[in-house]
Amino acid sequence: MTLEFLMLLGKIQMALSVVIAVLCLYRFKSREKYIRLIGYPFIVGFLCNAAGLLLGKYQLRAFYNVPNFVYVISAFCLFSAAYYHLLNRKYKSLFIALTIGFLAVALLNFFLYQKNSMNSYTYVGEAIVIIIYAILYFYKLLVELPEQHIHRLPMFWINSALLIFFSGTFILYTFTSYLTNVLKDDLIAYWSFHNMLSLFQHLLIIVGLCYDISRLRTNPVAGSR
Amino acid sequence: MEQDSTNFPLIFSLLTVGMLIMAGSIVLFVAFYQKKMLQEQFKRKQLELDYQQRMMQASMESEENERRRLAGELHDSIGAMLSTIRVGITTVARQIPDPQSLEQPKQMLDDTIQSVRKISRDLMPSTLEKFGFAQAVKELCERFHATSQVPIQYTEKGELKSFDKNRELMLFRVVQELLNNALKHSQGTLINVMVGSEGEQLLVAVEDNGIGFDAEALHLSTDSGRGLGLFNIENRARLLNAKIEYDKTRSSGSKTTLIVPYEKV
Repeated sequence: MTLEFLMLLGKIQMALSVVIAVLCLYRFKSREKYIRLIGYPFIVGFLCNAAGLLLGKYQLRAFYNVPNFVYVISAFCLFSAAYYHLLNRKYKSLFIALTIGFLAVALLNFFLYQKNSMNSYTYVGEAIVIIIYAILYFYKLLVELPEQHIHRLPMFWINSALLIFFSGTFILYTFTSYLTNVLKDDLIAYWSFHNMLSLFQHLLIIVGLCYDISRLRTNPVAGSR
Repeated sequence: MEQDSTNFPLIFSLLTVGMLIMAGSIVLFVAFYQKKMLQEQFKRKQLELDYQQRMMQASMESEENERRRLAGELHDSIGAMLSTIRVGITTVARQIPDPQSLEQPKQMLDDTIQSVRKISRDLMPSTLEKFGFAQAVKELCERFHATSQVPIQYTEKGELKSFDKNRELMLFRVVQELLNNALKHSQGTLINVMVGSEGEQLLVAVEDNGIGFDAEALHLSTDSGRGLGLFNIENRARLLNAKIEYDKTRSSGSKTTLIVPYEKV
């Protein structure tokens, strides 16, 4: 694994984020609210990646953490809002508690613990909460049985993508600090694996969004949760 | 430290693969279990539907049995008694000096006997049991024509096969209801009734040139009285495994076609 390969993966990931954002913005007003909410993190992701590249180019080390911090906070809040809608606005207190808890951890981590390094603990928190949301959504699917062919449900793909990505990267986020501080690893191999998983996640989400668009064309008023 | 750095990739890989396998298993479990749950739900619904259908069939059969009993009572008991009374009146009329005075009661008695016969026939058409479905429908058309003065044309196509008596009776009730609807609501000046055979299916069509009706609107109607006839027709059709088609393409009038398989499925 080389730095060039890692950069290439990052660029493909950025391109796929744009594809996802475009697919979510297509016929924006007639889309379900959760699809619109899921589109935003990818727009923010693209912008933050671009900002990260610019910061790297101009060697502005003091701000390296800022784009990632902005991304993780906004992505978390948007995913939470999307899942809140998907879960029929149930578990309100759980959502509020998890969001407040996460924001507190993220802020403390950003300003106190991991000021000068990657905010990996924040990512761990995000991964845990998104995994919980994803499992709750699958539980809802099993209880409500909304569709005969589950693979035609856009959110099945999106949820699977998020579950697989955050489960796969959870261990990496957990050990990032140990790897960099104790083992002094440059993380290229690990981060390449992260980006490959991210590409897989993006592709699964694109499949889900394609199903949503085809559904939108055949039945413009149908819900697709 | 060195030990840590050599073992770490292995530990990391195992943990990550473990997490990925867990996530993948959850996705697969949901996909397959959902399918299984849906199959179970479908089976349960099918059983409920079967049960409802059986209940409906039992209720209709008991209704028909009650009608048969009432028709029999009216015809054999009250009808016979009225006929005896008529014979008595005729005998008395021969013995009294002014037989004309009994003409009016005799006429009234004749009307009553006719009414009782009509009610009895409506309750249970003997023609259906004696001569079969086609003849009973033909007779029904003639009777409706006689009472309403609306021309009712009856046509028969192909060679009709006979089928189970209970199913014939159910089908007859459907035609009776369709004709009733056409006369009561269509405001038409001509009604066509067609009974025909097509392969292994019996076709029955009732057509009028009246104002037509919207079957979907009647289904959706919240007025409990509206669409009740249609509801009964569809229930009977379901029990017959028949298909009902409402012609939606016509600009005026209505046409309802019933497609009934000869063999009970």
